[in-house]
Amino acid sequence: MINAENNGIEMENVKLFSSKVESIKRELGRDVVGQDDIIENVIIAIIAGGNVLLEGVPGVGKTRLVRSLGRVLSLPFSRIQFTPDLMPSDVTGTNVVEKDENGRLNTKFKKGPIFANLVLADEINRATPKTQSAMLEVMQEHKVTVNNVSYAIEEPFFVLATENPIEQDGTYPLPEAQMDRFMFKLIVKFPSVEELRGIVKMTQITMAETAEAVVGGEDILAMRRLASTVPVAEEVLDYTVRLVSGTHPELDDSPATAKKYVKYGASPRAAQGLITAAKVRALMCGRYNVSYEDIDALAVPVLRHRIKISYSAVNDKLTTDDVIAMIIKETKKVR
Amino acid sequence: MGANFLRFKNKAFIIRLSKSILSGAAVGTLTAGVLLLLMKLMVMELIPWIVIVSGLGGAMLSFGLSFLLLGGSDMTLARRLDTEFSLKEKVRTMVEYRDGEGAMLAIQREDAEESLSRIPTKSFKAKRLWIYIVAVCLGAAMLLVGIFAPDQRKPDEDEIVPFELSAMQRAGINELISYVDGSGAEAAVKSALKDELAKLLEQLEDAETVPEMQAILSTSLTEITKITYDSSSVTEILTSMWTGADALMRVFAKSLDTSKWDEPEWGDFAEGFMAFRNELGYTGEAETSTEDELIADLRWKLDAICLKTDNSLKNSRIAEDDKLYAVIARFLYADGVSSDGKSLSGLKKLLTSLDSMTHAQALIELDHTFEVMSNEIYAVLAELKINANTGEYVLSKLSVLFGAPIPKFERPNLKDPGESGSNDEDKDEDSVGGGVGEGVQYGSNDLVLDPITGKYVEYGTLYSAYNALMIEKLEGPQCSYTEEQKKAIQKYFALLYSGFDDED
Repeated sequence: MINAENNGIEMENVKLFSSKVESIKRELGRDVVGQDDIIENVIIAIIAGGNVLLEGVPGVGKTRLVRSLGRVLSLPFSRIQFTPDLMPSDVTGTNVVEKDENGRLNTKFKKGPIFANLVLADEINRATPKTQSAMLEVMQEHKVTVNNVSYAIEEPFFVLATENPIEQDGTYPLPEAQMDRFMFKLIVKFPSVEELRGIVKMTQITMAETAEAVVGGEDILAMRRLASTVPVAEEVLDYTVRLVSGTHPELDDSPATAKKYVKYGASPRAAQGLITAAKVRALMCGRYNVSYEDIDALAVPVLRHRIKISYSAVNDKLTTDDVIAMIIKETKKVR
Repeated sequence: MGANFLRFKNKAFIIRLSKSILSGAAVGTLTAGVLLLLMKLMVMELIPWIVIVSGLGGAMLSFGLSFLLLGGSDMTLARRLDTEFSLKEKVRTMVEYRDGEGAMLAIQREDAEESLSRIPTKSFKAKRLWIYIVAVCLGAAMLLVGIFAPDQRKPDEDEIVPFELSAMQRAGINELISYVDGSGAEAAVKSALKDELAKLLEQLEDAETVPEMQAILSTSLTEITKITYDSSSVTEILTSMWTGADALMRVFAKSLDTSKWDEPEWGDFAEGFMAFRNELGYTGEAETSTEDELIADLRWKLDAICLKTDNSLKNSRIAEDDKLYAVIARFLYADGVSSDGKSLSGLKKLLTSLDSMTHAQALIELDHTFEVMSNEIYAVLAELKINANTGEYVLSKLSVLFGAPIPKFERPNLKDPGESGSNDEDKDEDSVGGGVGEGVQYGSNDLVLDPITGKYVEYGTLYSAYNALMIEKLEGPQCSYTEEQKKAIQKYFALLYSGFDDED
């Protein structure tokens, strides 16, 4: 057993970290059947301070998961339903003209639904690129600028977006710059037969979410601070950097897979996000250091929306996930 | 650094030390073994202590290099522990942040230490240790090969090699004494030879080193050569006769050359001697010549042969009491009665008497002289030849027993001026009378001297007897020869029968 005597509060925080994560999982499990890996990755992203893009066909529980998460986290929650006619100001808010007590006309900023701690951007790819772009600043810098006035958003702040596969009618692909703002892109798959049976049974009782709040914003921020102290060995960091840079076909030492199947690679945010998320994952796994295993496990959700595969990959019937797996395999050889 | 990590670090150090020692031992033994083998096989000339120093040097160098190369950092060890025991980079993180401060780092270190504490030290095994063990075995094997490989070097001159007369050598010398006793050599020669062999045996019994043995043997071989070696007079006399000889003198000299007696029967010498007689008495135009001319021709020949023979005897510097010298001198100067009671005139006496004789009478006298002298000269030559053969056998037997070179029996190289072709220039003068394969090749019916009985027997009979004896000895229970040695002996006997060629 770890001797916690000398580590005092830190050890206490570590224990709390684990118990809180377990609480979140338990409460989410009351509303969401299955999807354990999705839940785990969403929790990782929230603690790491990253935004998550959930992709899946309609009806697989994306929105329910996010709504339930809002309940569990006990944070101000807002939902923005993205539609083709949604305007940027409908998201960020806008200045409105008001009369004061003296009858003079003044402009006042009316905050949009983005001003919440947890924002559900439902079906984000149904909005036009212009509206989607309105999310860029807030997702990255956690502030909104209107008429040269910046309005900070209270921490913690997360955007959990859902999207339908772009093959669906009436969708707009997200711009690359915005995609890069998402720490993870998670693919919500159709539930298994067993999971579907559980979903049906559960919704026969009630359609409403029943999860209860177990953690607050301060808890999340404390967990994030704790995770940031998890050490990363230099070799693991090198491996992460090599993995991310290995997605760039233009680099001389990139793997053959990247040269053949990747059109463009992931941004530096990918490496940052990967390490940050890996620290959280390590703590969730009861470890106090980042391992290769963390990097490998998180590489696909971190990279899949940041790289674009080439026509050769499509021609060879390879998905982005397949290409990432191949790059991981090649990068492992030299670690 | 935690106690558990240090535990593995110590184990790693022990493994490193063990591998270095094994590596040193492997290279050291291998180096010493190879050098020893090369030295013994005479590929390299080395002093034994160089081999030892090289082995030790190689071992130390290999130990040092291995110790340096196998030595890894704490991070190397951490990597290995993480990989081998699936510790998920806990140990390398601990090592990397060993000097870091902070509660999380402290917890991480304790976590890594706790993970290590669950791993028994014995689980941390030496990798590829078998390679080092195999290398040591190879090195040891090479060293053993080097130690036990037969030494092909000649013993160091400064090195004192002990000598002890073996039972076989002792028996061999005693057999030689018996052989000499039963041989047909002269009594005086027999006695001298036996005394010399007995003396040799006595001295060899006391010899303690090989050089001592070689010195004794060399002296004895020289003495035996002196006792039995007929060529000391034959060679000198014939060489002296041959020098500047005319056709008539060469015919005389050839008749005396015992070394050319392929069939040592009376006939060979008699024929040669008779040829000399005929040449001496031959007159090309006898029917048309007058008596005076015939006498003058004979006188001229007798005068020339007497003068040249006399000069040859003197120039040979052989003592007058030498048997061959004496009998040839008697052939020239005899004036009296022969052993069979007949009056005998030497060639010189005959020459002085020519004035009172007709040519026909002179030839009768000449025939008488040749008849008497041929017996006397042959007796001397045959005796000398038996003495020589006996000595030659004794010398060759001693040579085989002790591995000493056989003294050469120098034979006169008598050839007519017309016989010496270009091929003769290529011949080694030293090859006269010496070496295996240069002797006469006998047919199975040819007579040869039996070295044991001293009598002449057919070569085929003698060969069969010796071949049967050889087979009996080789197949006998007391035979200590190896299969290779047996094959070599059998091949030698086969070659004795079929004849040697250049390759053999």
